[in-house]
Amino acid sequence: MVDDLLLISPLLIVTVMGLVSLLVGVFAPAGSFKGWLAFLTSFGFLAALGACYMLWHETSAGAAFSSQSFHYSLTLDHFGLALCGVILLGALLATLTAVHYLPAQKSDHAEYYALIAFSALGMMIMVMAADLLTLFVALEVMSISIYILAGFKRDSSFSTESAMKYFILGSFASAILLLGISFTYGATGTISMREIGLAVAGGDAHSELALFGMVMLIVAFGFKIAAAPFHMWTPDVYEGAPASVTGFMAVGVKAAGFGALARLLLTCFGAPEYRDGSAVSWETLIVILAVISMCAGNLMALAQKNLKRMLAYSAIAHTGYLLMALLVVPASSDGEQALNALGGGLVFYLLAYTLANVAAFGVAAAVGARGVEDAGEEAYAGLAGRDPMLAFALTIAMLSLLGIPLTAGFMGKLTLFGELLSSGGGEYLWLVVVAVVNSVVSAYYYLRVVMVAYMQDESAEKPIALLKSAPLRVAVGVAAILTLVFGIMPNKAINASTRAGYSLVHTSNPATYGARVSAAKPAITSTVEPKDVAHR
Amino acid sequence: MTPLLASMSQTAIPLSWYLAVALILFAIGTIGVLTRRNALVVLMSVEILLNAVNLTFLAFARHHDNMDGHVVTFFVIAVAAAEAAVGLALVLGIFRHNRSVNVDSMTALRN
Amino acid sequence: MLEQILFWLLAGGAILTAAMVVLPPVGRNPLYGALSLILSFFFISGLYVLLVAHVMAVLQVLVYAGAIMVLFIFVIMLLNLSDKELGQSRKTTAQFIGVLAVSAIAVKAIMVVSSATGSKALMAADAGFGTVDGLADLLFRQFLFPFELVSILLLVAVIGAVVLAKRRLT
Repeated sequence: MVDDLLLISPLLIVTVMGLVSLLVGVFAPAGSFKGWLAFLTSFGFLAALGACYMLWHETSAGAAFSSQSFHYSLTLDHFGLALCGVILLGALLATLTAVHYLPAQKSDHAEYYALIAFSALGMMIMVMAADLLTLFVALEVMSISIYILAGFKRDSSFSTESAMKYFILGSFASAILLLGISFTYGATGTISMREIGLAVAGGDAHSELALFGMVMLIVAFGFKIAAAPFHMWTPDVYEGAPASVTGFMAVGVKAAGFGALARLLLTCFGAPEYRDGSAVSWETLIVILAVISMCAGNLMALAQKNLKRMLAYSAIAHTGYLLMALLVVPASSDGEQALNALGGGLVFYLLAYTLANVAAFGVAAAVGARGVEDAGEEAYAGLAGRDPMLAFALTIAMLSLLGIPLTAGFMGKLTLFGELLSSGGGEYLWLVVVAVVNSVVSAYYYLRVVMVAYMQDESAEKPIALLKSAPLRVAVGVAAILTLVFGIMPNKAINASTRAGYSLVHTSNPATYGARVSAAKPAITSTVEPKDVAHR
Repeated sequence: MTPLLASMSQTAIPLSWYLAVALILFAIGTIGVLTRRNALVVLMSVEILLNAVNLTFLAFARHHDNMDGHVVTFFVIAVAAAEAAVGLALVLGIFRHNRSVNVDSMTALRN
Repeated sequence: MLEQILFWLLAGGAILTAAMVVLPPVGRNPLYGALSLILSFFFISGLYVLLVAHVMAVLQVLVYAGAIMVLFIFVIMLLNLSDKELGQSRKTTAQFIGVLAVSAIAVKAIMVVSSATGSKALMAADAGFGTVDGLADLLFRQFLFPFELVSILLLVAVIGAVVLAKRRLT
C-alpha cells in the first residue's frame, strides 16, 4: 500500500499543493498579495519533479513497472515520467511568471494556483493513463481547469470570451473522444488499453467499429493538440487568455495530449492493419494532419501582428512537426528502434518547445501586463533598449522555435527529422522536405519579432510600461538558459528521451505486457527483465 | 424478407438499433453545437451529445455482457455535471459583459 | 413484441424531443428547449431500462433531469432574457452545408455500424448485470483511481463556478 502511494507520489504532491493553496487562500486576508502562493506551488512542482527523478532511477533502464493497486489505471514507465517532467517544468516556470502579472491584471486570487496544480495533475495522469476511462477523466480535469484559467480575468471580455470559445469546442471534442472510446469499447469489450491492444493484435476486435473509434479518437486529440483543421479555437483562446495562462496551456496541454495520443495509438492500435498501409490507418491520418497543420499554421502566422496570436499559429505549426514523430513507428520495420526514435524525437522536441514557449509567453506577460492585452507589434518596439535581458530571452525563444543551431529547438528538429529519415528508409523524405521548407518560411515571422525588439524605436506616443517582476525574470531567464544548454549539450537529454521511448516498447507491446498483467505482481523491483538501452 | 423486417420479428432488439438511435442523437447534438447561436442551447446540445454517447456505452455493455460500459456512463454523468456548472458560470460571465448570451455577440476577439 | 413497441416509443420520443431542443422554432426560447430536453432524458432513461442498466436509468433521472437541468432552468430564469438579448438567430449557407454534412456523415455511420453489428438480437443478460452490486464492485476495485480523480474534477468545477460567476471575489 505504502509502495503504491510512493509510486504515485508526484501526483500526490501536486494534489496536496493544490489543496493547500486553496485552503490558505480562504484564510488569507481579502485583497492581500497572493503571489507568495506561487512560490509554494512552485515548490510543490519542484518536489514533484524530484519525485519523478527518483522514480526514474528506481526502475532500471527500459523497464516499465506498474503500480499494484492502480495497475489497471496507471502505467508508470519512463515515457510517462519523462513527459511528467516536461509538464512539471513548464508548470513551474509558468507559475513564476504569474506572481506579479496577476496583481497587475487585478485578478490576484489563490484559486489560480490551485487550478494550475490541478490541471498539471490532470496532464500528468493523462500521460500515464492505462485505461481509456482514466484517460478521459484526467483529460477533463485538465481541460476544465484550463477553461476556468482562460477566463480567469473576469473583468476582461477578452478573457471570458476566450474561455467560452474554448469551453464550447473543448466539450464538443470531449464528446467526440467519448464516442471514440465507446466504439473502441464496442469493438473489443474492454476499456483497458492493454486488453484493447491484445484484442486488436489477436484479431478479436470488430475491425469496422475499432476503426471508427480510432478515427474519432484522433479527431478528438486533434482538437486538444491544436492540429489543423481542428485548430479554429487556438488563436482566439491564446490571445484572449491571460499571458501566464497561455504559456502554461501552450506547453502543458500539448505535452499531455501528445503523450496520451502516442501511448493510445501504440498500445491500442499497434497492429499493422490499423497502423499503416490501409486507407484509414492512423499513419495516413497523421500524415494528413501533420501536413495541413504545418502549412496552415505557418501561412497564417505570417500575417499576425500580435505576439500571442502569432505564437498560437506557431503552436499549430509545431503540432505539425510533432505529429511527424508519431510516423516513425509505422514507417519503420524494427519496432524497438522505432520507439527509441519516437522517444528521442517526441520527448526532446516537447522539452525544447516547452522552454521556448515559456520564455516567449513570459515576455508577453511582462509587456502586456500593464497595457492593453491585445498589444500589437509596437509594444515590443525598442524592447532591447528598455530591458536587454527580456529582449535577449525573447530572441533565444524565437531562434529556438525557428530551429537555429545552438538552441534546443534546432537539436529537437534535427533529432526528429533525422530519426524519421533513418527509420523510415527515406519513405518520408518528402514530408521532411515539406517541414524544412515550412521552417524556412517561419523565419519571416519569428525573426520579425526579434527585428522589432532590436531595430525599431519605442513608439513615442504610447509607451507601454514593462512589468517589473523578479520571479518572472528568473523564469524567463532559466527557460532561455536551458534552451541554450540543451542546444549546446543535448546528449544527456536526448539519451533520456530515447530511454523514455524505449520503455514504450514494453508498455505498449502486447507480447511483453500480457505476461506482466496476468502475473499481477508488479512491484517496484520486479519488472520486465531490465535491458540496457546501450547494449542493443 | 429484408434484414430489417427479419429483425423485427424477433423478440429482443438488436444492438444496431440502439447504435442508430445514439448516432441520430449525436448528429442532432452536433447540429445544435454548430448552428445554434444561443450559448445556453449550445450547452444543452453538448448534454445531448453526452447522452448519445452514454446510450452507445450501455448498448455495447449489454452486447458484451460486461459492465465496464456502465462504469464509464457513471463517470460521464459526473463529468457532465461538472461541465454544466462551469459552462453555465461562463454563460453568466458572458452575459455580464455583453448583455447577451448570443455566441455571435462575442466579438472582442477577432476571428 | 412489447419490448419492441416500447423501444420504438422511447427512441422516437427521445429523438423528437432532442430535435425540439435544437430546432429554431421551438428552441428559440431556451426554457422550452430545457423542458423538452428533460423529457428527452426521461425517454433515454427508458432505453437504459430496456438495456438492463437499471442503476444508470435511475441516475440519469436523478442527476440529469433532477440536478443538471434544474441548474440550466435556474440560470435561464436568472437571466430572464428578453427577445433582444436572445439575439437574432442567423441562418447562413455555411450552416446549411454543415447540417447537410453532419446528416450525411450520420447516415453513413449508421449504415456502416448496422452492417458491422448485424441484426442479431442482444442475448439475455447474466444475473447481476446492471445491478448496484456489479457496479460497486467495478467502481471500488478496478476503477478506484478514476473514481478518486472525479473528486478532484468536481472540486475544480466548484472552484470554477465561484471564480467565474461570483460577483466579487475578495
